[in-house]
Amino acid sequence: MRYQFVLALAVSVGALAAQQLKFTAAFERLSEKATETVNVSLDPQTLGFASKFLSDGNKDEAQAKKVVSKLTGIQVRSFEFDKEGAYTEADVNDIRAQVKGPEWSLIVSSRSKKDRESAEIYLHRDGGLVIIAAEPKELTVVNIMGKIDPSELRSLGGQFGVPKNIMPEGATPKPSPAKAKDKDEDEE
Amino acid sequence: MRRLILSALLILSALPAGAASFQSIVEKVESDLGVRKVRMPGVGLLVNSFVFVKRPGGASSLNLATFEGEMSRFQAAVQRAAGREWKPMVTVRSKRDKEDVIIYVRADSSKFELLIASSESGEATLVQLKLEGKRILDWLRDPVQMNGTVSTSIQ
Repeated sequence: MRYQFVLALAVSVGALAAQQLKFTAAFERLSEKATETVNVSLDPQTLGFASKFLSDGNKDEAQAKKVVSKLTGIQVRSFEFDKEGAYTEADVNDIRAQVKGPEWSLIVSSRSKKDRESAEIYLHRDGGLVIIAAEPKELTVVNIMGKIDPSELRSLGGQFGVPKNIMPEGATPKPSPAKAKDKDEDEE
Repeated sequence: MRRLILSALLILSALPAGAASFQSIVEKVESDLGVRKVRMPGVGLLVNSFVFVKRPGGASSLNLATFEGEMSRFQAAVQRAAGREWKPMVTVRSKRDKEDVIIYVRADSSKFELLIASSESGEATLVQLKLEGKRILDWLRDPVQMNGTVSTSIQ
């Protein structure tokens, strides 16, 4: 029994670690150039306690509890700069390099040439999520750990650090078995 | 007498080990920075009456302390004073507004509390909130906006 418990614990800790981004010191140093930096960090314990306080009797709370109970951690790094070019493609590649493995799929890639905005959503095979949202003067990286159904993505917009309207209109997230085919949706 | 000692021991053992009360955090910050919190007689009662009626940000109780003086080391002092049981949940650093805010969370099976440390040049505020269950989610969903709501309400 004890071995089963230890094994289950090791598996869950392993799954969490596999979905968790490591923010490099170079990436964190972007805050020195940023006019505004927001970091969010929610661990499994806090999320677990939060879900305990939500009632099953109330419809909204029960729905929220369902979502929260599936999450095991949330990390957000958001930087706002006063001028363009404060962050480089190399900074973003630090994050992309961590979601290159076969366990990750690029499920949404949206680029707007008009607004020079881009959003990429990567889904881990066990349900974790990484969102990279970039604008000329803003960079946001969201890492949600746990079991997220891609169909729930739109409902997460504006919550837990996930940018609003993260899902472009008409886009349907589908985990692709093949690795990250970039489907640009240029607005010209 | 023995019963009294036993009761006291039971009460003490029920407290989490090293649990830092709001007052002890304030005292440690005062001692660390060599400042005193601003005395505002009657404000505590006023704030708690307001919280009782309005429940800003879903708070069921609120403690408040403000400090004046050199505050460049305030956030580090709060982190040291709060200890490990308070986990940083949100950090906002704004060079534009020259303001730093760190929201810490402490949760157990019976309560969910937030400690909000805000500092700007020459002034800092420390707020402890005990949250109503159903409003916890609002804080997890958008802590920055919720903090704005509480700050505006207190002002």
